[in-house]
Amino acid sequence: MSMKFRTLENAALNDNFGLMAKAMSGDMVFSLSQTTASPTVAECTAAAQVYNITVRLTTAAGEVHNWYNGKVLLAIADDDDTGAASIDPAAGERAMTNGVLEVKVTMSKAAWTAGKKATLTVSDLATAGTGILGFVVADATFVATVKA
Amino acid sequence: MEYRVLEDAAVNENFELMSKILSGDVKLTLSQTAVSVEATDAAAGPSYKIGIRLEDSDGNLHKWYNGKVTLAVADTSDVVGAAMAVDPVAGSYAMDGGTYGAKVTLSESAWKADDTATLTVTATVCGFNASATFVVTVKADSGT
Repeated sequence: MSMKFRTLENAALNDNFGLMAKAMSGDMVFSLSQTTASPTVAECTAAAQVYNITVRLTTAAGEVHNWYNGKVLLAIADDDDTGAASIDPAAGERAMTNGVLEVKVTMSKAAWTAGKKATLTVSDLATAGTGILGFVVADATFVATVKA
Repeated sequence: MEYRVLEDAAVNENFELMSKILSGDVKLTLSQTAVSVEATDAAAGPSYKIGIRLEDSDGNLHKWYNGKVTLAVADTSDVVGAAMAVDPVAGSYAMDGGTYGAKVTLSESAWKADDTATLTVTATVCGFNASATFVVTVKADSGT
């Protein structure tokens, strides 16, 4: 005998069970509205550079796991000696709302060096031993690379 | 909170399926788990096809599952070159409807009696671990 989700008369219910089946198979990825940026040294020197990044937990096919209101791990890093990158909300574990989290990445107003980067990394809580539904979801990044 | 019993039996079945998964009622079963092979036959490099299923404790196939299963091989032989290979190569692969297939092959080597080669299959489903092994044990030739 095999077990699979029964197809119901109500299409919306089928959609819900289908989405849950995908989640329970580990079909989850982080999707960012923007993954790269290339601000110039002049732009960084003139003003802080701000990027509003929408983080979504989706299936590989792009369906948003809008049932998810759990946490994701945010981290920000930069390799510049002058400028500094920050995020709002601050780095750490932050709860999504219906599978979505808005993150504002700010590169400080400074004379950033060409080639230096600011990197936002979105992770599951695997490092804490939990993941999402027990599955490791691959990290996703937004990288702003300063150009001359 | 408790699971309510609904009027629609099919909906109840779906929720029951979810409750099984979320309770960790998953196990891996292999079409064969052990075989003994004489040293002379082992030296010929025999192959074994292994069917893999994700089931509940009652043996029902989790046909909804298309997540990953991981294959790994190891052996205890100290014979140079003796090894078990798996096709596809060791790694993680997506199951199809709760099933997957792999083929393991012993190298054409001078395997010794009591050498073992093991295929280990693992999966983590909703945080619950499942594993199963297929073990080839080399035995002395019956004629010796």
